[in-house]
Amino acid sequence: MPADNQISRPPSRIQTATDTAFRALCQGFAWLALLIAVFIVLKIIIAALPAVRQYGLGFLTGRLWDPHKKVYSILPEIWGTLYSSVLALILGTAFGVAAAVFLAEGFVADYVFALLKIFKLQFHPFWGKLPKQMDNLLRNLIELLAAIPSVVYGLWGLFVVIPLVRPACHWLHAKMGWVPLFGTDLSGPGMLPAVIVLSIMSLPTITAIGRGALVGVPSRLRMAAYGLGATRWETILAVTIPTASPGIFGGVVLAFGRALGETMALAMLVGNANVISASLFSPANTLASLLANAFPEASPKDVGVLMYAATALLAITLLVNAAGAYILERTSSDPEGSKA
Amino acid sequence: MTHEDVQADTGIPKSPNAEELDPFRGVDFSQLERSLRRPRTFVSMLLSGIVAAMTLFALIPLFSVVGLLLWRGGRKLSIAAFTQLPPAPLEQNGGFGNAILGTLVIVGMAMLISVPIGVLSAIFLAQAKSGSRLASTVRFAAKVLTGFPSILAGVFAYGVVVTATGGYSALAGAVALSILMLPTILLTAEDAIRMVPSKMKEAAIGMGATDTQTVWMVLLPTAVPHFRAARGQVGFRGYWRDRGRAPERVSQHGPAPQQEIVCDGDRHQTARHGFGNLRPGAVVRLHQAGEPGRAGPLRAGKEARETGRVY
Repeated sequence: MPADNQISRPPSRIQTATDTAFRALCQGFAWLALLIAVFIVLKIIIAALPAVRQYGLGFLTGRLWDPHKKVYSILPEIWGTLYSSVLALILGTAFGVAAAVFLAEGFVADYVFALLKIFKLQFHPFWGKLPKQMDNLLRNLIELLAAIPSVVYGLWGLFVVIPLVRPACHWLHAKMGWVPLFGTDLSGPGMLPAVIVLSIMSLPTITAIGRGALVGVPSRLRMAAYGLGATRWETILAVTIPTASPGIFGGVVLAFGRALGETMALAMLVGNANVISASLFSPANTLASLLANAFPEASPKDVGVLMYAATALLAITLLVNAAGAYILERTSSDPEGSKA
Repeated sequence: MTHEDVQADTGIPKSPNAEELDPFRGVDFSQLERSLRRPRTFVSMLLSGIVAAMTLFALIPLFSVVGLLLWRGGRKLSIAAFTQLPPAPLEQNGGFGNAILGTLVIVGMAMLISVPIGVLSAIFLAQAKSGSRLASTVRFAAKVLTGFPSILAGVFAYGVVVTATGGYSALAGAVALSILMLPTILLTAEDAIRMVPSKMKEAAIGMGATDTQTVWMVLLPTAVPHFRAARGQVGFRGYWRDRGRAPERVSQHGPAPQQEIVCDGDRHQTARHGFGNLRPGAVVRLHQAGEPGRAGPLRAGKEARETGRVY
C-alpha cells in the first residue's frame, strides 16, 4: 500500500459507497422519468373512462357539441386537427426541406465567398471567416423561429396574417368559388391563417432534422456523383435527398406530431366553429383549441367529456410521435451507403 | 492511335506526332464553359435561386413578428410596465408586473422539479451500456414526449394538482411546465454529456476515479457549457450560460498550487490510486514508459496534462 506521504491513495470506503449509491440514484431517476411518462398517459385515460362509458364511440363520430343539451361529440375537431396539420405540413415541408438543402449544401458560404471574391477579400483573416459565420447565423435564425412562443404567433396571425391574406381570399372565393378549397369566404379567423402560422411553427423542426440528415450523407456519394459528371442539383435530387430521405421523413412525422398538439396559436386563429368543411377559408376547430377554450369554464361534469377529447388527442399525437421517433432512431444510426 | 500507345510513351512526345499526342486534341473548350444557355446549368442555377428565395422567405415571419412586437409594444414600454399591476378595465397605464413575477416563479419551480430528474437520468443514459433496455426505453419515451401537446400537460396538471388541492395555483402551472421541460432537458443533457471527448472520460477512469468522481469532476464540468436549455419552452438560456462558468469560478479561489502526480504509464498501478483527493488546479501528468504514442486511452504529454486537470 502507498505510504502516507504519497500524493494519491485508493478510494476510501466512503467514496466506494457514494459511488454505488450515486449509480443507484441515477438509475432510480431514469426509472422515475419513465414512470412519470406512463403515469401521465394513464392518468389522462383513467380520468376519461367515465365519459367513455357514458358516450361510447358515438363521441368520436357525432358532429354536435352543445353543453346546454349535454350533447358532446368531436368529429369536427378531429377533422380540423388532422386537416390543419396536414395542410401545414405540406407547406412547411416544402419550405423546410428547401431551407435544409440550402443550409446543408453550403450554398450560403458559396454565395458569401463569391461576394468576397469580388472584393478580393476571400482569404482575409477577418472577412475570410464570413462565409462560415453567415452559415451559422442563418441556421440560428431558422432555429429562432422555434423560440417564438405560441401565443405571440397567435397575435401575429391576428394582426398581420389575416389582414394580409383576406383580399386574396375574397378574390379567390369570388372567382373560383366552385373549387371546394375556396368554397366559403374568409370572415376573419379561419383555416388558412391557422395553416400558415402552423406551417411556420413546424418549419424549424423539419429544417433542423432534415439538415442533420443531409449533412450525414457520406461525402463520397456526392463526390461519386460529381465524378460522373452530374451537376450540383442533379446530385442533390438524385443522390443526396434520396439517401437522406428516411431522416427527412422522420423529421416531417415529428413535425406532424407537434402540429397536431399545437394549442394557443390555433385557438386564436382557427375560429373555433364546429364545422367540417374542405374550404380553406371556413372557420374550424381543433382538439387542442377545444380543450384550451372549454377547460377554464368547464363544470366538473364537463371535465370528464374534455378528458375524453384529451384522450383522443393523446392517442393521435403519441402514435404519430412514436412513429417519427422510431423512424429517426432506425435511420440516424447508419445512413444508406455509409458502409461498403 | 490507341489509348495504350499514348500511355506507353507519356511525357516524351515524338516531334512529328506531337499534335496527334496532344490529349486535348479535338476538345472544344467552349463546350466546357459554364453557360446559362445549357439546360442542365440553367436548371441548376434556377433551383439554387429558388431554394435561396424560399429560405429567405421562411425568415420573413421572424422579422415580421419581432417588428410587430417592437412597433406595437415598444411604444408602451417603460419601467412601470414591468412593476405595476394590470389596469382595471377602461383605465390607462398599469403594467404586467404580476405576470413577470409569475413567470419567474413558475419557471423556477418547474426547473426545481425537472432539472434534477432530467440531469440524473441523463447521466444514467449517457453512462449506460449500449444494449441497456431501460436506457433505450427511457430515451424513446423522452423523444416521444418532446412532442407532447402543451394542452395535455395542462389537462394532466389539472387532473392531478388542481383537483387534489382544490384550486388553480402556481404549483399546478409548474407541474405542467416541468412535464414539458423534462424530455428536452433529459435529451439535451445526455447529448451534452456524450459530447465530452471519450478520452477525457477514459483518462479519469484510467487514473483510478470512480464513476461518480468521473461524472462530477470531468463529465459534468465539461458538459455544462454545452447544455442548451430548451429554447422556446424554457427561455432561460442565460441561466445555463452562467452555469457554464462554474469551473472558472472554482479556480478563482486563488492560484492553485501546481500539484503534480507523475504516473509511469502502468495503468494498472495508477488505477489503484485514488483520483478524487487532489486539490483544484492540480495537474496530473502521465509519463508512459518508453513508447510514445502507444495506442490506448492515455497518451503522454499535452493531452494528458489537459485531461487530468481537476476542477
